[in-house]
Amino acid sequence: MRHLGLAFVAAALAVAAPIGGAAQQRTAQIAPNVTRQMSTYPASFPEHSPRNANYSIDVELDPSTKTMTGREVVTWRNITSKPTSELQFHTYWNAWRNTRSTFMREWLRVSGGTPEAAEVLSRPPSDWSSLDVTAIRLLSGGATAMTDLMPAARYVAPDDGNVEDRTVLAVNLPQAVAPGATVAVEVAWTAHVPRTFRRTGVIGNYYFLSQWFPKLGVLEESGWNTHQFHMTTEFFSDYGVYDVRLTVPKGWVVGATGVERSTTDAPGGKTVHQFVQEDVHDFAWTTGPDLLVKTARFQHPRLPAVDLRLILQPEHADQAERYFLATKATLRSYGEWFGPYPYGHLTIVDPAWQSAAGGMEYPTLFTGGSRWLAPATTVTPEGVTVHECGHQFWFGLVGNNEFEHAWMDEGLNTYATGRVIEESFSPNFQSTEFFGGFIPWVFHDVPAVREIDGDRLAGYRVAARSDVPSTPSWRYNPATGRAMTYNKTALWLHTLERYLGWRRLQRGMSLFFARSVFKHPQPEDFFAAINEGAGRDMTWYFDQVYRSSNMFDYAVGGLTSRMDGPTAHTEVTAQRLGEAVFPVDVEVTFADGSKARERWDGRERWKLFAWDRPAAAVSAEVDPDRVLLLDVNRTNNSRTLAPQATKAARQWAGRWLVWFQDLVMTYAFYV
Amino acid sequence: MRSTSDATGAFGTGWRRVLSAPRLVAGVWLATVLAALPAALAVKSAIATDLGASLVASRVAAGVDTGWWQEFQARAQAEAATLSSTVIGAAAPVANWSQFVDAPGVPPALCVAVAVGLGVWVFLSGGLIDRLARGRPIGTRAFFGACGVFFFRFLRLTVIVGAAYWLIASPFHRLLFDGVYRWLIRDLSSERAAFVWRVICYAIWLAPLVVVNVIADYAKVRAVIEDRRSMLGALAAGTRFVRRHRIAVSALYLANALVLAVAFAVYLLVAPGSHGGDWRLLAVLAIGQAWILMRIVTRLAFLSTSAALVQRSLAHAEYAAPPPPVWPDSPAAEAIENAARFGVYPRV
Repeated sequence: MRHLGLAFVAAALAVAAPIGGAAQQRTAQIAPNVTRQMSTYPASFPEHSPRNANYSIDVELDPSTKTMTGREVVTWRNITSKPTSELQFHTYWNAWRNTRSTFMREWLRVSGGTPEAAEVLSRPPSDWSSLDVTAIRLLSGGATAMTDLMPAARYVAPDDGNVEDRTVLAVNLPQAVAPGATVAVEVAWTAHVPRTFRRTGVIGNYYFLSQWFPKLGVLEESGWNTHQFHMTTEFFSDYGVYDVRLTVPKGWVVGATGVERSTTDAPGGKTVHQFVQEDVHDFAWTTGPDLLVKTARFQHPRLPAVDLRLILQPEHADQAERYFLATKATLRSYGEWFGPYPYGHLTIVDPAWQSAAGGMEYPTLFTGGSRWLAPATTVTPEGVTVHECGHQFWFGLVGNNEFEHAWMDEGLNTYATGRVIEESFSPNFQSTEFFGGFIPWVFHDVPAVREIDGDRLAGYRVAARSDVPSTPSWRYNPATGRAMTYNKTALWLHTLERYLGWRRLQRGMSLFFARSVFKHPQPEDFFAAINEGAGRDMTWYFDQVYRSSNMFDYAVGGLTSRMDGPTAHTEVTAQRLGEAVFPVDVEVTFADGSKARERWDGRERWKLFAWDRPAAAVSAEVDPDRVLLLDVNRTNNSRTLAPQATKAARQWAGRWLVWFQDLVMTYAFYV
Repeated sequence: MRSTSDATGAFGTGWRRVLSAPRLVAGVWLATVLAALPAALAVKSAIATDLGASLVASRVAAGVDTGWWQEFQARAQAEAATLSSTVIGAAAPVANWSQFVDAPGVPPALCVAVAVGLGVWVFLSGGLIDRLARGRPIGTRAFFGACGVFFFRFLRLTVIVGAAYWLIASPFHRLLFDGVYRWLIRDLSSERAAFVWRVICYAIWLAPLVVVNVIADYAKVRAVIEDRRSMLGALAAGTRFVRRHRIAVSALYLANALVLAVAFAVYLLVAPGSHGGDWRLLAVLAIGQAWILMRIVTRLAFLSTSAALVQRSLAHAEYAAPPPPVWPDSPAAEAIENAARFGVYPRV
């Protein structure tokens, strides 16, 4: 209880800490050649992240050949209790080197035969990517400085043994790195920028570059956690300081993780842009000659101010304010619910059309995505902006392993995004696109619904049984992995919200946030925080939704009501058709307007409820408040003795008739 | 100048003939409803079965219940699987046109129903053109007689023209949109520019489609007016006519298309949304069927104005003249005729 109380106070402080008085200046000498950065973190935050993986990178982009030549000094500290004799790097861009990588094999298994796959497979060699490490030298921390490590480098495939996959490079060290010891290595590489594929690449003169440098995996107590690049997963790396100098053609706009510290002209009509950021675990950037830049500022009485920088496509110039509003709504809502965004600045990137870079998160930078025609009554670009800004919290500040527990950022964030959209951007309406996807059509009398559109119920329904969510994400069925990660998690969190109440869930999530900032939490950390915040043990629930692939489906199996003298005897049979169990209410409505409700623990396969009332029953419903959003069939949850099915069918068949007649007339014009 | 006046005159004559044939229009409309009804009833049955005795039905009756829609779309089979939000209001014609230009073809579940609808049109075409070309009532027997006379001729014509349509809708469409268009936009990072290219591709694709359609229409008109038996000859005659009167033909086509566009704009404004209720269903059906009627009227006007232009240009005006009266063949009538002719009256 005392422990709970202290934790609650800490969480409350995280929300309530004033900006000015309690803010502390943090300085630290990170590593040689890294400029100090003054950061302002709330008092509730750790002083800084472990900063055990620091990067000083110099890279030059050559648009004429679409290549990058880079050199980085990686300063890494062993924060485990065990020594290690190797380093492992991610070389993600080798996933699109050819079709034999693990990523491409998985992708083709799902997408093979589609027009998208045909387009990719028809690309010339110059459109594929590569990341070739040309030199690795040990600078310090070993027996001999400046040791050439290239002979000891080899590609490994720890997940599937695919010898043709070159996305993990292991480098043997001449001497083990002891716990607490630091090693510095210099890595040189060349990379070919692909035609846009999976969030990165070049289209026209627009570059978005992510996972573009050799990046260390994470050493855990059990060894290196460096998964190959899979179709269904994202990324995982340690926190540190990034000091990056980007050389691009003069006059090109650059947006990147961090704050721009300097801009220096270089020979050959180029400019070097230096960006620095502390306490992050990745670095992405964008550049091009035709980009607009807009700025704004987020301010809040209890949250740190944030300078916003928007890198915008010219054809979306009129949508700047929508991007800013959505970002501010997220910073406000997430800050009030979970904890503050501490970095003081944020870059929003509006990616180019066909760049495939939209809808993705990177520390202190995210990509939104909009359309040339974006009706104000829909949530383009607000929806993706809220989601990706939200990832600054779930992914950026709380650094879960996206290879193994992708739900911990995508699922939590999808859930929270739906809440923000419902609170700040409602009503918004369903829409579709016509004529090649270019012309939007808004259904102004069909509002979007959070539990269906926001939580993506339809996708979950199809994939409800496809995987046990506790399976490491990289091993999910590629065809349904996304539904497991995003949709199902959002739905079980939203169900939890309805079951516990928002305040209890919010307390648990803010506890988890406060404890996990700058760390790599595990699922059990989340469940423990929720239990603590809720004040009850919800393990039985997590066993259902996370540790099994059981499906929820409750139904009204039967409803009868007959008059027996002055009294009507009503019987309702409630059924559990799915394997999963959840306590539900069973409610009956009587002809005189009264209602009766019983709680059922939902365990048996069926249960009979009976009432004797003056009035006959009209209808019965299981889970009338729709607490259990994971129920795959809502239609069978109720039954009425005065069905309206014919009336409903007439309504929609009548409309369908008009549509069909119009379809026939469209073709009859030509006969 | 003569072309313009011919087109103007033909436009006025053609539309007048259509608007003065309400029973014809109503008959065609009824035929299309009857052809579509079986499929609509199948959809109605599927919806009713799926909803059963669920309370969800009352929400579905009142408007869109997104949750049920998604469940139904996952469970529905055959025609019912085509039920989507695009049936709401003016989204329906937009969705159909969009589908037509982006991926010509009918959902497999509806192929039979659409084929029946098109078959009805082919059957009626001869009678429709005959009636509209004459510009006066011809009676039900004569109408269906003309339908029967020209049905198999137009069936042959449809096969020939259908092959051209297939070439345009399938290989040419793929070449243009999967090949040329994708090559054009390959390195574009501006959506607006890509849309401009797409519109250009639409225009390039529609051009031969319109040309074939126009030639086919004039082939049908000349086949009826000139009682042609060879459809290849009719096509040749139609091609000659279009080539020699291309300005008038184009002007007429554009004028009729403009009328359809205006009708769509009106429908866009008045088309009912998704909310339900008994009176709303009546409004949906009334306004929706008014739109269908307008489409039928416009289609008939395309044929009627084409016929009027042919008659004005090729001196087929006598086609419109009423036939000589036929004296009824009966003893009583013969007696009256004799009395009138010879002054002989039957003894009473």
